[in-house]
Formats: sequence, structure tokens, C-alpha cells
Amino acid sequence: MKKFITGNHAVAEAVRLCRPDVVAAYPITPQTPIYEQLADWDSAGELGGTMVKVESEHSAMATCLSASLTGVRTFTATSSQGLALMHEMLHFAAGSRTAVVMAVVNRSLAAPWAFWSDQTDSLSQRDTGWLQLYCEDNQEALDTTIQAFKIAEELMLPVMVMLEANFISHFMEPTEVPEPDQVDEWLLPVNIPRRFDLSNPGFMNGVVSAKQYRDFRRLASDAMEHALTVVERVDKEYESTFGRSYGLVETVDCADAELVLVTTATITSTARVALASLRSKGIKVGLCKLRLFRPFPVKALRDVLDNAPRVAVIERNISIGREGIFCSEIKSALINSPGRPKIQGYLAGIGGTDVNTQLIEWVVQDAITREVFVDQPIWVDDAVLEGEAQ
Amino acid sequence: MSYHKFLDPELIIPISRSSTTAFRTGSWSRIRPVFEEKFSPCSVACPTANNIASAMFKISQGDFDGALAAFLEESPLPGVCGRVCNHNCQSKCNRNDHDSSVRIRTIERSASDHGTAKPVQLTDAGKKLPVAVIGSGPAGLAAAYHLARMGHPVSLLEASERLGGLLAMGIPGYRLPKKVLNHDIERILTLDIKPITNHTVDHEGLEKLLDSHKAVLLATGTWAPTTMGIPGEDLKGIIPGLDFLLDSSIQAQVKGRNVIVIGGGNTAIDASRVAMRNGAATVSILYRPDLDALPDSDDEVCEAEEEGILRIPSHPMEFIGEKGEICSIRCREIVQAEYSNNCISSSKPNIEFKELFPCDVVITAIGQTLVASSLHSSLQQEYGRIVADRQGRTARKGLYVAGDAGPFQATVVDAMASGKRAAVSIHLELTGSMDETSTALLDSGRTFSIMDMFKTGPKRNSDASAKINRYSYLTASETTPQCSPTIAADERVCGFQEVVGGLESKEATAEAGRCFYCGSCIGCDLCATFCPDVSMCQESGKTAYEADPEHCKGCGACAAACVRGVLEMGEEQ
Repeated sequence: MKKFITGNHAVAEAVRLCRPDVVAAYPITPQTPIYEQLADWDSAGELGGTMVKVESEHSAMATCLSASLTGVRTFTATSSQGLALMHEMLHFAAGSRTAVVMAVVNRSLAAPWAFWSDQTDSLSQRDTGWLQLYCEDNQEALDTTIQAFKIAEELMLPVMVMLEANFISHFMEPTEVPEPDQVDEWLLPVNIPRRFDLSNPGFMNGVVSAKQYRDFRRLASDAMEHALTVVERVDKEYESTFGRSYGLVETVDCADAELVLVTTATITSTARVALASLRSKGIKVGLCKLRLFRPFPVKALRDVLDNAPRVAVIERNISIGREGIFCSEIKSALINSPGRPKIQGYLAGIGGTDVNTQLIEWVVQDAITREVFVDQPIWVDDAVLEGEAQ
Repeated sequence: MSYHKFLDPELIIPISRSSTTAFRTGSWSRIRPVFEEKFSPCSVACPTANNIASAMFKISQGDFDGALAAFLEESPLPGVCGRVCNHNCQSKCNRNDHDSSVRIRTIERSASDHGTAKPVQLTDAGKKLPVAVIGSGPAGLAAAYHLARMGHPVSLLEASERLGGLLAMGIPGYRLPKKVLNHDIERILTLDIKPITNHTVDHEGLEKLLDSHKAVLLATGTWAPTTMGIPGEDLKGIIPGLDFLLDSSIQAQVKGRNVIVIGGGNTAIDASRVAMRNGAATVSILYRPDLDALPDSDDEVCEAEEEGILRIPSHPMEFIGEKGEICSIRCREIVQAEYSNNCISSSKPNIEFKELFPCDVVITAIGQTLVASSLHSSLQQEYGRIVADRQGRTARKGLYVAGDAGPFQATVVDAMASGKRAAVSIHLELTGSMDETSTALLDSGRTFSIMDMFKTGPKRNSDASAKINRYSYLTASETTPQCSPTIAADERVCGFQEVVGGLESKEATAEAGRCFYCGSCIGCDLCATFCPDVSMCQESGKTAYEADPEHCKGCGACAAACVRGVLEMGEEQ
């Protein structure tokens, strides 16, 4: 059924359809509507499972990961400061090989205090051992959340699903909400090992030797590599039932492109419009949308970019002291490419500032005509655009 | 799905299905929790070191017998102290910071009213070492009681016809009914104590006692009035306070008369209230803020004022008579400076100053001193008391002093405390077991516990009370103390009925339940609950918790959880 809903609401719909056994979360703007919607359904008896009230995000994650170890399906959602507070438990969730699914609404981290869209919060959690998927719109947020449960439970690795503050969390779009029967058939009841079991008590994560520690990390790393196959397969399975799929990366007009623009999340939608306009002017530009960030889809990216002469990465996050985080990752993924594409990073939309078609066209023009590619990112702001106009 | 090692649930995380004891976390730290019960702040404030926390816990569980036994460990007069003690304990109660102190004195009374218990023998080491105690007031009774518990045969000599000293004669029945006192005394006499009444000891008698006994304790009190040293003191109608309290025929003389009591302490308040009960037309107390003692507690001042007794700050300069009989007192005005430290909340210093106070009877209650007798005159005195050290030892070997006769604070409970210290000092001296630790305990410390002296292991420091975990306040709801039933003022002045009643057992249980049990383990199990290594255990039959050294990693969670300050972190032993 098609509904006109916000991205937060779409995620809540997906969670309800997946019949979680335990939901533990703590309110934080702009994620709160997810929590509130689930709580409303819970109090109306429509959610099933158990909602646990906690005093912090740290406890929310501790609750979810412990619940997951008892073999049940778990979900939580957070944002920004809440995610930062959870950091320690994120390592525990992944290291304990749980199947927790979490929606993260990307919001700027304090200080200074703000509520705008910015991906640095989830990208800061890059090395916690979680899978990370970035969504372009409300529909993708809904579909990815449903996929995430299947992926997490197969791999016994936790999955984060990212939706951007405001642009997805609070913008309303027509969204196809699948029928419960369909989802029940596609996503079977949870079947993960009950490692915490009253009838077979156990003590987990005792102190291990150096060698044992190394070996556990190796197993987690192997599982993460295997995840590339699983994410791709689950996406295809989803398509065969629901008719929608997203891939690890998505390409538009890349075959003959002199420049490939790499984007993630909501900037992609705007870039699609800009691309059509540029193509109509005869500019050979392609678009590559990166959806999966952990594990990083190196092969899928190289298939697209190995032979692209020029690459421009435009993104809404920054690792201060270096550049946009996606750009660094893409550079390192292409280091062995025989064609050695030229790569330029652009920072746009940081702090939730508007990334419109005019801005994207400026980036494309700059990258396609640039003689020297610089190692530092180029900040694309109003002043740059005005300067160009003069 | 094909097999992948990295998805095998038994391999991907470390999980033990046996027990955490395999992890010897005890090697991580040298810091360990140390279980040590400590004095509660109320116990430190109690001169006889009553184990209040333990008694409170027992009553909160409905165990009045156990609570009485806990009081009897340190003090033989719970019925008396439960009524007339100045309850220093309550002013130090941690509950004061939260809502209002636990009514400890009332609970001691409840233990005595509702419980039965026998004194416990501490040792029989003193059984061939007889001791004589002269005087059967609070100091003499306490000394005899503790000496007998340490095995000494005790001769308890009393000049009057009945035991109790000041408790029997000086404290009116509306505060301390005779049957209550007698009940306490009967319990004391179940021990090996031989009471000898109607027996006055003079200098010669003392020498004989010193020959026939291994030690003699003087607890004769101070029964002689202090004089004011102002003109007219020999006028008829001026009566010393203690004489008035002792003699009902003198009391009968105040009927219909205007009475002025001079003084500020317990005797002054008691005398004025007794005068009121004997039908005096008016009763006023003139007290000199700079000189006179204050009553031990506000309660009594309030009760006296409710009964219509005026308290006026003033300074008598001369007694004026007519035909040899007192008719008025001339006073001088009190200057502000004289109030400095000595004003209490319920006094009313705003009464207009008068130079002349007309009266028919004057009762002086400005303090007592030693009776001039051959017994006392043979001993060295200073400030009207017999010279002695903290243990009650006089210059003469084998002769000890306790209570008001010695240089100790003049309250019932302080007298009992000095009797206890002297008894222990006598015992250790006679059995040849006085050592450095005992000397330190007897000579220092704010209070003295005989139970500590007889327990094995380290002794508690009475200069430091338990540090209670203030977080416990957050979880305790604010409660109002239980109210003792009190007879209305106009009714009670008609007789000598006990003014303040005791609590019903249910009320006492509720009141004792307000106690935080500072410094005492009540087996709440919080330490064991919060131990992440399941290493806090209570050995069966013992109250102490101990950390298993193989597994305690010294994190301190148990000590942080211990709201009563019993567990504290320290170095591994």
C-alpha cells in the first residue's frame, strides 16, 4: 500500500513489519519520531514484542545486544550524540556477533549544537565492526531496514541503516509499504543461536589470550568480507518479491563518461536531475551512488571507476585534518586501478546546507575542466558559486 | 547454506558453559574490600557506646528481646535511659540531614518495655577477685553490673534503705516511675552482686573494705548543695533543690505559695515541676544565663513551660526577708553579653526586667558538691570532686572513683559510662591484663565499648564513626518520627503520673525502621549483588562478608554499594 509518510515513519513501518522481539531506544532529535511511532503502536498492542525504556543510548545498545544474544530479533534507533554515547556498546554488539539492527538519522555532532544533516556521526563509527548502508530516500530507508534484519541475522553482525536528518527523517514522500503477509514470507521468524539461554547458562566474553583475540578479529573480518555477497544476494531476493533493489553501488550513464560523480544518500537524488541537464548540454558525465560503506564494496566500485578518466566525490561529512571520508575511501580503493583515475573531493552540504542542482553542476564543470587535481577537498559554498556567476 | 567457520556460533565469540571461576581475576589488584563494622555516629555520641544500630535493626524486625540484649551489652539501665537520658545520640543521627532523627531514646524504652533479656557474662576471670562498690546510683550500678559480668563478686553498699541513688530519690516519678527503675535494678541483681543497704561508709569503713576487697570503687555522688554566696541565704523558706526533691514533707509546704527556683539545670526543672504538682500558687525559674547549667534537653523545658512555669533570665543579688522569712529576691539586670552561648530556643528572655521578685519559697538548684564526710575528706579533691584519671584511678592504689563524685560530666549516662570505664580498669588491673591496647581504649576515644574490649581482632576507633553512603538518602523516603503519647499539661500537674508514654510495639518497629544502621551490616546483600565477579560471600553462620581473593579484582563496587560504610577498600592483608 502506498502511504505519504516521512522517512522516520517509513523506518517504523519497516520495523513493525519485521516483528521485532525487543526494541530499546532513547529519544533524540531527529530520530525521536521513529521511537514515538513504535511506542504508539506498542501501547495500542500493534507492535508485539517488548519495548524497553532505558535511561540512555548506551543502555539501549546494551539491552539490544544482550537480547540478541538470547536469540531474538532486536531494533534500536538513534542519532548524533546518542550514537556517540553508544560507541562503546557498538564494539560490544559487533564483537559479540549480535544481529542488532539500528536506524541512524545522520545529524551534526556537537559542538556547536545543531540539528542539521551531516554524516560524520555514523562515519565516526566506521571501525566498530557494523555494516553500514546509506539511503537515498524514504522508500529506500524502508526497504533497506527490512533487508537489514535478514542480512544481520544471517551474518551475526549488526547493521546500521542511515537516513539523513530532515531530508529523509522529516520529509514526506509517497512510500510503498509492503503487506505484512509478504514480509512474513520473505523474512522468516528469527533463527539465530541462543547464546544466552537459561537452560544452558554461559559466560561470555571472558578474558582471552592475545592469540585468541587475534583469531576472533580474523573471524569477524572474514564474516564482514562475506557480507558483500550476502548484501548483494539479499537485495536481489528482495527485488524478486517486492520489485525494488539498490545494489551495492548504482551507476547512471557511466559507460562513456569523461567524469563520474560519486555521491551518497540524498545528494544523489539532486545529482540525478543535474545529470540529465548536463547530459542534455552534451557533457559526458556519469553518476555512481555508493550505498554500502561497510563492508566497503571495492570490487563493485572498481568495476565502475577503474576506467573513468576523472572522478569527483561530493559529500556531506568531513574528517577534519583530511577530507571527506568517502573520498578517502574511494581513493584508497582505486590505488591499484590500472587507469589511475584523477580524483577530486568536494565538500558540500555540511551542516545541512542546501546542495542544489546549480551547485552540483558547478562541481561537474570544475572537475571536468580542472587541470590540476589537488589533494585537499574543495569547499563548495555560496561564495564559490557567486564568484563563478560573476 | 554452506559451512563457514566465521558463522559458527560456537567459534565466533568466547563463551564458557562451565563457570566464571576459571577466570582468576583476583590477580588483577592488591586492593580488596575490608569488612569492618564501625561505630555509628549515634554510638560515638553515646557515652556508654550503646550498639544502637544493631538494636534498631532488631526492633525493625520485631525482635524486642534481641534489641534489649543489644542495649544490655553496654548499659544496664535501658528502662531508665529510655526515659531520662539526655540523648546526645539523636543530635548526631544521620537522619537529621534527611528529615528528622530517629527517636533513639524512645526505642531504647520500647526495648525495655516490650523485651526480655538477661545480662551476658563476659568472662569469669574475676571470680576470685572481690570488689566493693560504694553507692548505688547510675555510676555504682553500672560499675557493679560490668564487674559482675567479668566474674567479680561485688559488694554494693548503699547508705539509704533502697538502691538507685539519685535515680531513686532525685528524679521525680512523672519522669521515671519507681517500678521501671526497680525492674532495671532487679535485672542487675541477677548477677553475682551482694547489695548492702542502710550502710554508710566512713573513712574507717573504707580502710576495712580496702582490706577485704581487691579494689574499691567510690560512686557516692554529690549530695551537698552549693551556696550562692549572697546576703540572706540563711533565711527561712530557702530550700536546697535536692533536699526538696528528696523529702515529700518539705514538698507539701509549697501548697498555695509563690515559689521561685534558682538555677537552670535538671534539678531546677524537676524542683519547679514538683512544686507545681504540690499545689504551688506560682512557680518561676530564675536562671543566670552566664552561670547556670542548662537542662539536658529541650523536651523538659517545653514540658515545664506547658505546665505554666515561667523561666526568667536574671541575676539574684540578695535574698530579702521579713521576720526571718524570705519575702523577695533582689536581682540585677542581665546584660546581653551574658546570653552569648547560653540561650536555648525555648527560653523567653524578652520578659521585662524586674528588680524585685516577691516570693514565699525559694528553691536553690545551682549545683551540688561532695558531702563533707570523713570518707571524702581523706581524699584529694579539686573543684569539689575527687581527683582521678579518666579510668577513675585515684592516687591510692586499689581505690577508684566514678560518677559525680569524680571529675566526670554530671549526667546519668556519663555517670554510667565512668562506672563502666572504672570497672574495666579494675578488672584489667586485678587480672594483670592491662596492656597498651586496653590503656589506649580506656584513656582515649569519645566513647568506650566494653564489648570491643572483649572481642578478638582489631578494635573499633571511636573517634571516627562510619562514613555513610549519602546516596542511600536518595532512596529513603522522608518520614515523620513516631509520636510518644503525652498527658495534657493541665491533667498531669495534678499528680505524679508518668508524663510521656511509650510506643506500641508496632509503632516502635516503624520508628526503628527509619534507622540507616550506619556502620552495621544488616545482611542487605547489596555488596554481593553488585560484585561483577560473584566473589562476595557470607560464610554460613557468620555475619561478615568476605571477598574471595582468587576472584575479587578490587573494583570497589561492593564498597560503593555498601550504604552503611561497613565495606571499605584497603590493601590486601
